[in-house]
Amino acid sequence: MAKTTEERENEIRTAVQALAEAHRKLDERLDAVLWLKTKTPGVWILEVMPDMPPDAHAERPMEFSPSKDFRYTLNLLLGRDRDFRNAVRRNTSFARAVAAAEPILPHPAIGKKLIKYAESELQRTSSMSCTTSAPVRAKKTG
Amino acid sequence: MKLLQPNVWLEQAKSDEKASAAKQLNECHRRYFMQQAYEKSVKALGLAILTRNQKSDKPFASVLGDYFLNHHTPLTVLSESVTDDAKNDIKKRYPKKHEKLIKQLTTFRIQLKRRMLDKVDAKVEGIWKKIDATRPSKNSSKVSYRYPFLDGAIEIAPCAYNKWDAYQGSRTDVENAIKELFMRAGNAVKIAERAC
Repeated sequence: MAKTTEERENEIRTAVQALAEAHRKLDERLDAVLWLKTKTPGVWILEVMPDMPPDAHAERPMEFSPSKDFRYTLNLLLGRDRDFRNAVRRNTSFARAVAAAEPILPHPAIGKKLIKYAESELQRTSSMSCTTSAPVRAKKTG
Repeated sequence: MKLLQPNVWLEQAKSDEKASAAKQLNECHRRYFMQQAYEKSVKALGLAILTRNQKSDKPFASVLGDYFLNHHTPLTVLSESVTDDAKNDIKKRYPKKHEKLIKQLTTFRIQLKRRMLDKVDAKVEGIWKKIDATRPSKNSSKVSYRYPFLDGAIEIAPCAYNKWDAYQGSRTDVENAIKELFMRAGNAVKIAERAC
């Protein structure tokens, strides 16, 4: 029987949680893990790692092939909180993906803050686009 | 789709591991074959976790060669790619792309480490680290696999070193650590081939 969208999402969530837990046990500082819900193929995971090098394009993932325990193509975004915030400010579709993301780690304070930041940035840009959009040109009357 | 290079490395790694079992070997030569088995498996695993897009990215493939594939100590060198010297070298060669390349290399390093170390026994992890950190050298004061074994026409005296068990672990433990890596690399190659 075909799986429902909810069942499939639950399956992916379990896999993402296991992956995040495995990552947390390694000796790299890891502040937050977000599962980005995008329509692009593969599973998108954003990890806030304070020791990553600076990146002017933190929204660009590196793609990895599936593993035994994680059967999905992994689009991995590793970066510093400030680089992700810059990317949120610059790139609206990335901001949307972060705003709709699910925090994964058990203590996701930094992840939640990043989501809130993306939400407020989206609100700010949408209100700006209302106030600064170009006025409709008056028709030439000849 | 069959992944050519990772499969070749895995086959060679298994041959090296078989060669290491020969009875008449000096211990450092045995360890050399074991080191080769380790090195080729790590490289097979590294290539298998990348997708085709990553491998066809020429600048990335080039720095991956310089900081991973072209070395006997792949993980140690990959870890050194985060030093200022390495970053400056990449910046000099790719002034417009250095930031992206450093990030790609770092992400690859972390992901490879995760794939190697996920649910691994601490003893096995320790042995991998020790094998990876042992570099070939002619300097007799250093512990090494004495590769090449000849310095000019003179055979370097590898047999003098008899503390391999204390240095890297017993022969059985090292064999088990290498077999664990074969399994991980083999799985990664199979899964990558299915995903292609």
